[in-house]
Amino acid sequence: MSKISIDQDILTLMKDNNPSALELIWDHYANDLLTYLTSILKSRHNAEDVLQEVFITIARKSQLISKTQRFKSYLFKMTSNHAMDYIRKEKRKKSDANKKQQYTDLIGHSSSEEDEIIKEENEELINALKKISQEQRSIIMLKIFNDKTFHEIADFLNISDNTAASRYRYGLIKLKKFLKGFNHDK
Amino acid sequence: MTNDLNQKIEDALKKVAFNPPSQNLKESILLAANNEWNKSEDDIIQIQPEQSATIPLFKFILSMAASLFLIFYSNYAAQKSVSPWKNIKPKPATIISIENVDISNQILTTFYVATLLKNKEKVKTQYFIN
Repeated sequence: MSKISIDQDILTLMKDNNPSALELIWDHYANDLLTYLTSILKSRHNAEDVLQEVFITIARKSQLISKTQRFKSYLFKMTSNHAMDYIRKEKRKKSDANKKQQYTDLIGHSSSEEDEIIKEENEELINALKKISQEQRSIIMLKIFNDKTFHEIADFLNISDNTAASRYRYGLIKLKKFLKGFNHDK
Repeated sequence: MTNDLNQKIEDALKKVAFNPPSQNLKESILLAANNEWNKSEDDIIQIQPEQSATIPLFKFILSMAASLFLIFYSNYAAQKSVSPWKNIKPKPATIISIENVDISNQILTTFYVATLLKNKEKVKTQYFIN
C-alpha cells in the first residue's frame, strides 16, 4: 500500500472519530518519528517521551488534523514542534541528568553482548553524529538507520529532494571532520 | 577518495543498529493516546457557552465600553448640537443612573443619560442597547 493511500485511510478514520487511526499511524510512522525525534533531541529516552506527547496531541486534535491536506508533513512538523518545546523546557530545567546522556540514549536500550561490542566500536561515530547540525543529523539518521530515500525524507520534512541530498552530503563531510580515525585508514 | 571515505562512514553507521520502538512502548503510548481520544469527545461536550467564564466577562466589558461611548458621545453632541437652545451653552452630560444591566442574558440594557442645561431644564435621553 502506498503512503498516500495510508495517509488517506488515517484521515478518513480520524474524520469518523475512530481511534484505530492511532494504531495505523504507529505502524507506519512510529519508527521514522522516533528516529527523527532522537536526531533532534540526541536522546532516545527523551525521544520516546516526546513521541508519547505527539500521539496524545494527535488523539486530542484528531478532528482538526483530519482536515489537513498533507498528513505526513503535518505529522513531522508537529513532531518537530514538540521536540523544540521539549528542548526549551529542558533548557529551563538545566538538570544535570541531561548532561549524562550516553551512547545508549541515541540508539535505544539493548542488553546483548554483541550490542555492547558494537557500542564500544562506534562510540566515536555516535559522538560525532551528535556534534553535527540537527537538520543534517536527522537526514543521515533517517537515511541510514531507517533506510529512507531522499524523496521520502524530503516528503517528511517538507523540503526538496536536492536539499535533502545536499544536507546529507554536507553532514557526512562534517562527520569526517569529527572522526579522526576515519581520516586515517581505519 | 572522498567517495571512499563517505562510503566508509556510511558503512560504519549502518553497523550501528538503531533499535525500533519496542512493543511495550507501543502499547503504553497507544493506551495513553486512546484514553485521550475518549476524553477529547467529553471535552467537546463540556465546552458550552453558558459554562465559559470568558463570555460574561466579555459581555461586561462590551457593556462598559458601550456606556462610556454613549457618555462621551452625548457630551460631544451636546456641545456641538445646533438646536433651539443653541444660545444656551450646555453643561457636560451627567449620568443620572444606570439600571437594568443584565449582562449574562443580554437582555435590554438601559442607560439613562441626562443633559443638564443652564436654564435648569432637564433633558432625559434614553438609549437602548441590545
